[in-house]
Amino acid sequence: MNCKQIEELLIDYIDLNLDEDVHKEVETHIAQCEDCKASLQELKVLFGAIDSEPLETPDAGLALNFEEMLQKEKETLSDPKVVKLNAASSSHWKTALQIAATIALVFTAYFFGKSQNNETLSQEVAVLEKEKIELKQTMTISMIENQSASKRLQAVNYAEEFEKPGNEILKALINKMQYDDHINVRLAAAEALAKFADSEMVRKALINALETEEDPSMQIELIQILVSIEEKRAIPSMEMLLQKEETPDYVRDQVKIGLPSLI
Amino acid sequence: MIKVSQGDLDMMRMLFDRYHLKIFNFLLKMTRDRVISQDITQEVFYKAIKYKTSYKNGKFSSWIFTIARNVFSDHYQKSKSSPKRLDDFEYKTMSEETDHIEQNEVKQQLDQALNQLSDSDRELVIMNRYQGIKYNEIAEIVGSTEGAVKTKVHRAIHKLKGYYLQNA
Repeated sequence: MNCKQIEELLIDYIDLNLDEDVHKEVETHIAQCEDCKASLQELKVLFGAIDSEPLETPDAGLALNFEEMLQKEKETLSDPKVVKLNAASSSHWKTALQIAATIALVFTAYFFGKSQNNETLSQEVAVLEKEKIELKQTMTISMIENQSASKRLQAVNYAEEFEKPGNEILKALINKMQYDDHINVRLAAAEALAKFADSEMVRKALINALETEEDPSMQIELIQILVSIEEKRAIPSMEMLLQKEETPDYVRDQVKIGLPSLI
Repeated sequence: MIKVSQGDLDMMRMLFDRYHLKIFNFLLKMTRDRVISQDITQEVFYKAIKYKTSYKNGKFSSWIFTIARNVFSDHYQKSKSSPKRLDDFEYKTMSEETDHIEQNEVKQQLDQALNQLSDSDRELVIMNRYQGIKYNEIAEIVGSTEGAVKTKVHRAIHKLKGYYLQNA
């Protein structure tokens, strides 16, 4: 090793950081080399100076301040821990409540909107339905006076569809049943009126029709209706039919079948 | 220290007793100002308590010196940014130096030589020669490798030796 390499090892040599054989090698070199010996000496002087420096002691205030700080930290550590826990748990509840409230709000809003929608919708539908019925009634009444028998028949069929037809409709139907020229219209009207037999006006009209009706098929229809609605006031008319000579046999038969259930 | 980080603050007192002299003397060499060094030492231990949870396994001395270095450089940043404090600081070092003349000559020469080193060289010498911190620990503190630290420390010591012998 040359002097430069030795010089680089001198610090570690002083610190006893070298392996044993390297240490010995440096040692023998220094014993022979004056320059390196001087370098070693200089380093030792420097380190001696450093080591001779006394350890400075800070003022007592430092330790006191530290003690105070430690005490404060302990307090904040023990106090806030309780508070923190409480705060944490309450905030958990708070979050849970907030979530619950949000969900509740969303649902209420949804259902409110839905019901609101339904209400307005059903209102609209009701209005439309009403309008439709009114329109149909007007149409039926106007159609029922039509010259064409088929139109009149159609109108009678329409009238039959009403659940609670107005008096106008009933009167129109009764009129058709009694006076229409066409047998089919009269039959259809009778059939339609059978549905509304709850009305006293209709019942009377049916009885009257049986008295005045001369067409046998219409007679049979009326007999059947009157029997099915159990109208006892029709009995005299039926008996009259039996006595009439013009009455065809099959009508008589129908009366004979129907009468017993009425009496 | 693990106990401290788990909330045992009484252990912190023990650590303070063991290390506050080292920290104080390290800072005293760096700043050459007793008041500032005491303030910084105070802050170092305050931070150690405050950030105790950030302590991971490792040597406590490395950790506390890391904090000391950070607080010290923060302090310098502050005094650099405020000229008033810099004046204050310089005045104080001057008064320290006048004190030194009355003290032994060796110490004065050494301090003078030390002052001629760059900040990072001075820091390395102080940590290694004055505090006796091993190279691998210094590497941990300054965030470097052991080999690099050793080389730097040796170079700094030779520089210091040059300055010291020049002045003598």
